[in-house]
Amino acid sequence: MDGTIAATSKTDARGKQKDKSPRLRKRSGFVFILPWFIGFLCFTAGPMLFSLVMSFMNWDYMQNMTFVGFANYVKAFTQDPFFFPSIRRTLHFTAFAVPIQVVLGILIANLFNKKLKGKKVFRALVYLPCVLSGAIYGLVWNNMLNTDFGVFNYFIQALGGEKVEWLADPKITIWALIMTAIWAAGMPMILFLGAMQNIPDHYYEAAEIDGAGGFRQFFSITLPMITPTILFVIILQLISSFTVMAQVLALTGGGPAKATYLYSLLVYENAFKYMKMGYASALSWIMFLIVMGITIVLFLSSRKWVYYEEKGGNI
Amino acid sequence: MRAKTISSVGNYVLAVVICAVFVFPIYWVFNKAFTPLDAINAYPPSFFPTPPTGANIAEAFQEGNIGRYILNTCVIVGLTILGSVLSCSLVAYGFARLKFRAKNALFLVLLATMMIPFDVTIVPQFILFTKIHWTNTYLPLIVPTFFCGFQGAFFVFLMRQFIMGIPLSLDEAAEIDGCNRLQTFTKIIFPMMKPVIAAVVIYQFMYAWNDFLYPLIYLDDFKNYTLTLGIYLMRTPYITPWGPMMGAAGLASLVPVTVFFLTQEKLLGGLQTSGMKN
Repeated sequence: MDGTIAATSKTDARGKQKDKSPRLRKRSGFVFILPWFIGFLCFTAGPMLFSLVMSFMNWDYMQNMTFVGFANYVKAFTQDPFFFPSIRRTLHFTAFAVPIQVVLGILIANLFNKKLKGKKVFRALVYLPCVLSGAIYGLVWNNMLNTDFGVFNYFIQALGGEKVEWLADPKITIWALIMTAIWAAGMPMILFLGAMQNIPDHYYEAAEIDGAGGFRQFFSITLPMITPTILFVIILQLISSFTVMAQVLALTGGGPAKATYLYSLLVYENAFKYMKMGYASALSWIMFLIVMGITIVLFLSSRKWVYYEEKGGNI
Repeated sequence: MRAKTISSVGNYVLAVVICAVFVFPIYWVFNKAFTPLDAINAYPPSFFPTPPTGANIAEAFQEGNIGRYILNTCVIVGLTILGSVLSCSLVAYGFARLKFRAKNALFLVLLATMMIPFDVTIVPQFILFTKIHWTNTYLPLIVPTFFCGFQGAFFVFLMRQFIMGIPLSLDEAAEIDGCNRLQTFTKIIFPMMKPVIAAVVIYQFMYAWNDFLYPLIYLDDFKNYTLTLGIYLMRTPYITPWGPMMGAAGLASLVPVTVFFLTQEKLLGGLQTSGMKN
């Protein structure tokens, strides 16, 4: 393959003086992105198409596929007792985890954006939980939230509270899961900090001359200027919290009494535990459509609240 | 003046408290990793291992087969880094410098793939890799990286940004000297990409070292387990061997934490600029 690339390009280089041969040039350019394009077809687009087809099939992986029309989708909405509860739990988790991560990310970034010595160290420390594996992270939280010997209950008792059954009480566990998601605010923080450092200083200088205080500057300059990043971060965190799995498996395994059985676990178990590939495909497409729907709504609403500079964004 | 000093002291205190809270879970891994077995489930918990012991880590190696898992993980990490750097730099060069039909549309498609929840692709991918008998091998974890798989779209994006910052006159000079496109890339552009390649190497390292779901799905034989998978599966529904588990977790965390601290400027700097793409 390397030979062909070299050959086509050589013709190009030589042909530059006499014959520009634009068609050949165009083709040789495409050769360079072939690795991605092949990967895209084989590992993303092809599988997605296949899974769409499969979602209309009944296939328990061993026997032949049979076409069942919308039966998988109908089953999800009408028969599967875990479908709506797992969607509700996922929305519950997302509705709390994402806003908390975004707000905390903005507030911490704003703090670190001030003239603070050693802010690179602070920045790194807040990001630190993000470099752990989700599985290890879930495991550590499992230890820290243990009812009998967990350090969290020790803190609560030290402050005069009662021991909490973080991972044993179905009503509480989803909140424990949301709480552990707070420590993922490092990633949004980094992105917001980048956006804030990009705001020209003279905006703040002008505001200072006009007598605007810290709060006013934050709400009138900082916040509007980082709205494009806010949109980007919300979408990123939305997708990651909809698909959260490693932490949940390691922290709760979906329990107790399915209290943290999130939608991604439902897909995972149907596919890899019960080998219901057709049904799992339908479930994953439902999730895809939900995520896409929310993303599109966010994009449409962004015209109202996201500030774009006159020049227009360049990707 | 005075109010300013007070508020800046306040900012420091706040920053230190926030950092302490965020670091605590990581501190806890290391604390437990070195806590003697008889004190590991003690209540109230000890905040410092007294005395620090290597027994948990030793047991993880003896009983938990951790040495083998670390070796397995290193093989995967090394090969995926190779795959990501080679494929993504080439593709990034194509998108940054060359002209071809539908280039902008294809680049948008590449960016859009970052938004696809992995749940949608993981089931059909699993079927594909099962059909070609790749399960229980490392191929499903490694081969896609040679085609810009997993985090590849993000790497292409980062590298393309970097290449676009290299003066075009360098390419033109190379072309005048008789370099073809591939030579321009391998001799001029690729050597200049060292900073962004370093960033991609670190990201890919972190990703492959920490990856848990793909090994969980593809690897059945315990001899092939990766470190995170091996640690996760030490636990049974009835017994959680906290000693060796936390010892191994300490090891598994020590590597990315160290790498992160050594390279954080580069890593976080790259992330910061990627957030500005809107």
